[in-house]
Amino acid sequence: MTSYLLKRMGLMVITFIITVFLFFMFIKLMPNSQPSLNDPILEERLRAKEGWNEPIPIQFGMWVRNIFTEGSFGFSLNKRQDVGSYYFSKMPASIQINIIPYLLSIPIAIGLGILAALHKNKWIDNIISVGIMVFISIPYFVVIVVIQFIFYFELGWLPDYVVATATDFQNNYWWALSTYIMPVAVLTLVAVPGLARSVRAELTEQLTQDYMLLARSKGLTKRQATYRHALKNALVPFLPGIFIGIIGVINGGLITEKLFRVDGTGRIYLDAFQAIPPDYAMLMLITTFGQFVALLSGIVGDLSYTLFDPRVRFGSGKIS
Amino acid sequence: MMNIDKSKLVLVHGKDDVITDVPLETKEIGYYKDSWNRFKKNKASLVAFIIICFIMLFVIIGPELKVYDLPTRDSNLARRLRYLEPKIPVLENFGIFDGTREMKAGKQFWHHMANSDFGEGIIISGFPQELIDDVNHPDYANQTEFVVLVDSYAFTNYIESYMPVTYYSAGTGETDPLNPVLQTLNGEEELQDFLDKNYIIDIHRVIELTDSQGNPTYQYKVRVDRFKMALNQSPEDTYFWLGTNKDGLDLFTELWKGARISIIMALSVVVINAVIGLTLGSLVGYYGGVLDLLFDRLVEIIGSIPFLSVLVLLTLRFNNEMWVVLVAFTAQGWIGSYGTGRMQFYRFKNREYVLAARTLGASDARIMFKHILPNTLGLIVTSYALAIPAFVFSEASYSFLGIINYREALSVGMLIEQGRAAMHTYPYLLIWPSLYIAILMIAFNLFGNGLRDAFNPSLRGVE
Amino acid sequence: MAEKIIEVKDLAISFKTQYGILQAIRGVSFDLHKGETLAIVGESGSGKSVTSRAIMGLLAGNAIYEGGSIMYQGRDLTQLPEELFHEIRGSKISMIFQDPMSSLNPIIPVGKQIAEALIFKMGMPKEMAKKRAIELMTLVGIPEAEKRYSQYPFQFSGGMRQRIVISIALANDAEVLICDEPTTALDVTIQGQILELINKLKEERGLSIIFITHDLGVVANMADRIAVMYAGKIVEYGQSEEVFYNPKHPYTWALLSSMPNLATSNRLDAIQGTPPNMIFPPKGDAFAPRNQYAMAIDFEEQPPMFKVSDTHYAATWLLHPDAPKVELPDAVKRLQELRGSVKK
Repeated sequence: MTSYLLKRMGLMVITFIITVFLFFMFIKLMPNSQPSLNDPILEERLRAKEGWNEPIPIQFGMWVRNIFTEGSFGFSLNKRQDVGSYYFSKMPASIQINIIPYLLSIPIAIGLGILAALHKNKWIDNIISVGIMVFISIPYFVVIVVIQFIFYFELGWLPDYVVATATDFQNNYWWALSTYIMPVAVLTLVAVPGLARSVRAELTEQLTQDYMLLARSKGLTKRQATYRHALKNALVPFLPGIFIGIIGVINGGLITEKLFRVDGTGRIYLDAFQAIPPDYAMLMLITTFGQFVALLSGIVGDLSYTLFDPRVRFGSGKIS
Repeated sequence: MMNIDKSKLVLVHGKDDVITDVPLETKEIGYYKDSWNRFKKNKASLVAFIIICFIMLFVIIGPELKVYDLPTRDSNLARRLRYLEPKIPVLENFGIFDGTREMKAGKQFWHHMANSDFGEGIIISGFPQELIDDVNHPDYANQTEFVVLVDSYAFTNYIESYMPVTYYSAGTGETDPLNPVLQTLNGEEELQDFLDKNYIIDIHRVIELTDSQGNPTYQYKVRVDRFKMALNQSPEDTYFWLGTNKDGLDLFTELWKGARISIIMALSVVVINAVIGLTLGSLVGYYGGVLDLLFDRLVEIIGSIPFLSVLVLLTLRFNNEMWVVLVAFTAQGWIGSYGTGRMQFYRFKNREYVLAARTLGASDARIMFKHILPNTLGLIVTSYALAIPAFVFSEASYSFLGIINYREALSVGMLIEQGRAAMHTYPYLLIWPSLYIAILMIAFNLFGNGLRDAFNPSLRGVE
Repeated sequence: MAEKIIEVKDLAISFKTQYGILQAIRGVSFDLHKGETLAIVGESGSGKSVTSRAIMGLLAGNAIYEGGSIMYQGRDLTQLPEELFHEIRGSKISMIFQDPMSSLNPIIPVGKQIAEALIFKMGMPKEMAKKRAIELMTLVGIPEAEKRYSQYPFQFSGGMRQRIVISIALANDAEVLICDEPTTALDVTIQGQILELINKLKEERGLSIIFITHDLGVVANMADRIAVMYAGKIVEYGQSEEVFYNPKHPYTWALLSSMPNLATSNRLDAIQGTPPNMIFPPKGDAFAPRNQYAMAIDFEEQPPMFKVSDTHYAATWLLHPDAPKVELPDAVKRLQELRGSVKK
């Protein structure tokens, strides 16, 4: 098992490196990746540090070196500061708005999925299934906007339809905190249906399996059999996904941050692209970081599969 | 012992009779008929299918229903028709879709409107009679602004043709407070032309100029009836079923134009992805070996590039053409079908009937198309039924953000964004596009689910 | 005669399906005596599995009890509510199934699945349950039980898995064991081992066994008494010897005739046709359309159980005193000769 895992991880890392390099190359080949600046001193410094006249592979090498020696991913010409410090300073805001809805949505989704599967085709299941269908279909940003409209503009129940800024927090802590209620609620709402549907499907499937019959004939009550067998089997496929999702919380959602006016990392990506000239250093960081997060997710996913599914652990690595 | 007819105690068959199989009483049903039967039973999917058909109908004819080319002819004039509330004939008599809206403005403004000829019939309710008679009535001394229910069409005509809302609050300065509504006509011919067409309300100012030859020419600052000028009809006779947006475009038309584009794109993308993906998948799945390893790596690398990057890079480089979006979505989109095709081929290529076909001398291509592919059909159909709403969702998201921005039409995502920007005052701009996309997506998902259940009965009960 | 442990009387069960009501069992009566093995034999769809599930109270949600009773320890199991049923399952009446791979939970170690029965039914502490489970595993013939306790089902061969299933079934010392085609999914060589195991356990623990199968060869090894089922009814019922060597029902004849026989080079005598669609149960004898020996009356009236001896019954109009005499099929005659020669 270990050798199999290591092999897979090795491949993932290689893919990661290749992708990052390809992107770097692509960027350097763009027409204005190294514009002439008004500030000669800055230009000189950058030229030296990033090797603007060197062939691309060398530039790549220097870039990598800079990461490890100075922790710098490059210099943003647009923001006039180190891309790393700018980007990572925005991350807490993104994580803040992403993490609670994500963590909340998991138990809610699992609970709903279980409820629906256990009472299949009865009215509870029908309500839940309809709800799932509706909210999974409608694009989440439409849901968010409509809820903002109804609850803030029409009904006036909410303090604000966007999230409070840092200054708001200084001025009135509780009010600022209350502005998070609706966003968190809505974001949880749109996150629940996907997982709930999968859990319902999987649990329904597991409940029909033969081992459930054996469990019942052993003398276990329906409830015991369901929770000790069906549920365990049903949830195992989702655990890796959940862990991966936790890692994914880092990525600021573009639309979410725009709609709630969160000053997070989501916007940076788009701004970097649409700036003139495009902020390539920033793009490089974002892409690399994004790939890195994906790499981490992949590794975590693989690890958790191995941990949770014994068939993977002892088998040839294929999940039956 | 029961009483039975003992005469019946006789053997029916002779000793060496061979009993033949009784033919099955039920008719044999082919796979497709069987699937269609199963599909029909699913009421929700049927309804969804009907809804989709309706939407398709409107997608085809919707944009043609209203003849309104003003925005293309004269966008500035069209803009004067912005933010009109939805108005539908017949329904307007029931108090819905009647084109009315609540507007807030100063009491002097309302007073003037209530008492002017041009402003007749605009105010529906909300402005007290006392103030209509006497703008300085003591009862309302403390109130300067009023929220009044007006006919938005007539109201818009009023503020675009006769008197802007800012008239009384313009302050004292150089600029004529009537400027926003004034039309400049150069020369007597234009004036006469406008007079003939009955556009002019009154002439505000005449400016005497000298032309290049030293001859006097006249410039007329006039107030014109915008509705008449734009559409040649009065506000009462103008109907925009779902209202107009910030540029005076008819929401109904734009909605279906956007829908049309997204559906066409969706179908194109799905088909292209299918063709590329299945072909590659079949080849790789069938031949396997080195090809498989190579493609594995290739797919992994291509797949790991974030879609947003691809999309943005392409639109930056090649502008917002439809083909650009197409390429962006298919660049990585084929991977899904590729996976399916490959898996199916792996699974089936070693089955007995393939072996049999090969023994009989069938060529590779024949095996692939005649034997393996039909098995996959169910899988293909359902995944594509669900791929369409997936695309619509993506496209709406990106156009919502403004990344996708067609030249020829406003995508539904853009409409929703415009609605969002205006939702505090003009909610209808948000409601209708949102409703459309909600219904479309729900219908497609239900339909896709129904298809999947119909073709793969083993999955029934699994949403 | 040993006492009766389970008495099934006129049991009738139907299922609600989307195509109509399916009559799975239409009036079945049999008894299980203490310490005996009763074999229920029949084709797929004859209702044999439904019978066993009914005894365990594990019928699907769309099952309808149309009538009849299952008496066990003075209680009618058809009336027993679910809350009380689980006390019977496992500790009094146990069941093993056809496919051991899917019967066992793939992601839980095998030993734990055995221990689970002990912990939940007997309230044994975990340590003790584990020890007992290992004992059970050894008892059913799994080598190195201690080491294999924490292994997963896929790490065992089919025969081993079935042994584990058996150990689970007997963990709580049930007195009745229902075996629903336990060897059908196994290799022929392993079949013998499992059957031997079951017999051995029966001896050691004084079990009463209901053995469900479609394989007469297996029946010959195991059964004390046999009930032959067709289309939801028992068509022949008697001691093993009686049914094999003195069968009276044409269906039993057909079954015996269809067993491959190395001695002759005749064609295999498959039974023509297919079992009837039980949504539209036929009038009269259900086997009539496929019955070489059918009589006119078979198509109109269902035959009652005719008595052949105190322990042997068959439901065929051929046993009516006024019915014509028929010649037994060759296969049956051969069996009788065999028996005769052995006796000599």
